[in-house]
Amino acid sequence: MKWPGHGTAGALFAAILLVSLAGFALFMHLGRVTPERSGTMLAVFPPSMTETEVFANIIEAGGRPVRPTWMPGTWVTYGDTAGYAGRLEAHGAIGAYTSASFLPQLAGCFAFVDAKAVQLFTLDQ
Amino acid sequence: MTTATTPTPAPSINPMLVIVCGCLIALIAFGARSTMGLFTAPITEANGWGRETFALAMALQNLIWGMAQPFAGAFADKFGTFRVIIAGAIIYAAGLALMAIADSVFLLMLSGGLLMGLGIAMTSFSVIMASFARLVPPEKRSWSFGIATAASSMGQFVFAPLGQAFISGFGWQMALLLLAGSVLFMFALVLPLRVSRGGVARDETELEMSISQALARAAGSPSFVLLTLGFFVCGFHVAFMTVHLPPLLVQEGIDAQLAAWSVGIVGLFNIVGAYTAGIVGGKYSKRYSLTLLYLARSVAMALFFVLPITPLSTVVFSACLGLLWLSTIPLTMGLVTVICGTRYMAMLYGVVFLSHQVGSFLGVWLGGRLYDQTGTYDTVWWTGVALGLFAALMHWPIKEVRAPAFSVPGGAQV
Repeated sequence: MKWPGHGTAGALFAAILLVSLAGFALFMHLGRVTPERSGTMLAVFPPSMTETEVFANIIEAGGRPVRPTWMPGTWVTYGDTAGYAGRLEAHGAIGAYTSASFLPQLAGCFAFVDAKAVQLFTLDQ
Repeated sequence: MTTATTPTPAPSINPMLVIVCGCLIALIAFGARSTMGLFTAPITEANGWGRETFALAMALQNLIWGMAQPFAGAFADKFGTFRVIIAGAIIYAAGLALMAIADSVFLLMLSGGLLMGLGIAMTSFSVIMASFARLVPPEKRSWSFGIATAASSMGQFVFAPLGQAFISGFGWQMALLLLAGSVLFMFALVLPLRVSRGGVARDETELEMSISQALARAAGSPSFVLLTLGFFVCGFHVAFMTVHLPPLLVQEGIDAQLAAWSVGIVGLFNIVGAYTAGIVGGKYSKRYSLTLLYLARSVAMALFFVLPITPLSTVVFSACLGLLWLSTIPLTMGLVTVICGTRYMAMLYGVVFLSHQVGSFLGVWLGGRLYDQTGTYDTVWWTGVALGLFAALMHWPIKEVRAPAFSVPGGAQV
């Protein structure tokens, strides 16, 4: 009986990464807010954009930056007029998201959800 | 009375399916629980609880997992992996589903703490690897432990975005129910592992004995005791770093973005480390590998703290930490198999793992306590360095052969 080896491991890991990418795409799709929305939301800009450009685009969209997050190009922003989410996209944002927290997770034998760590990573306002 | 088991013919199994399905079960078990951080805000806000309440439920979950692991292992050894994983998946899914409607602290502790902790114990890599140990030939065992550990670790990459997508698209309660559904997917995955105990090719060198005899003999084996003591340190390191490394980095002036990414770097390199450890364990001495591994942890921790903490040193340290993260698991599991055989390895690894979870608890608690008292992580960091050296010392004298109490007199040893 022939048992699998590194090839199987490579194929399995590649397949898992593909599923992971699919999950991320699903998140990008489901987490997006409708263009009419206003209020506090996450604005995701291309990582290649400088902070100054991001800042300027948020202002031009009629909002204000609340604070940056640990994800590059991602800001918590606030805009009180209707259609703010749509205007963010019109000003170069990849999308606007209501999503609360996208925490970096570490698979370990101890996934302790420490209040301090959560506070540090949360994209919450 | 103890007698040598008689060899039985190898069962008809599909090796590829066994490995892939086993890995996917471990991935789901680890992945689903790794999303719990995502639920902190929505659950606590919906119920008006503090985040500490949720953190307490997760702490309880880890404690229950550790305490239940030897029992889950014993059930798997006695009644087979298939039954334990089926029961575990039901309990795990029930915990997630109940959490969706938990409107009191008691229900949260019951669902997210007790039920999930039990479910994880019955479906995690410990049970999967014990199954691999019986189904996979000895020369492939260590590799199979490595791939199972690496696949478990990859659960975070699949379930973090999925969990987030579910929360964004359907709300946190439905997200928990969807996660419960994905846990039940284990029903299908466990089928290739369904081999009756009598159908598994048995090791001629193994003695038939009762559970209590196996426990007593393991407790009387110096190598098993040393291994258990050493694994305590792994738990301490992993838990301490998981919880306290990012805040420590921020305190030391590292940008919060990089502090967060450092966690990702650890996770990425961990996959490489875990898989490589499986290969190394199959070719070289497991005890020396573990000795070096713990020594390397101490050196990396000491250097990181002594040298100026910069973005570059943070990235390098995170990568080193990742390589040394769960790479202890395939080697430790391998040593349990060598010392005690495969007959009760799920239970005996559970005992070793319990020590790990005690270390985990202390790592988090002591880190927080000493920080609150002193305002720095210095004391607990150096404690971690010292414990790494202690673990190296514990693994060095381990005898990498079947313990006399577990071997047939005059029998060959695997």
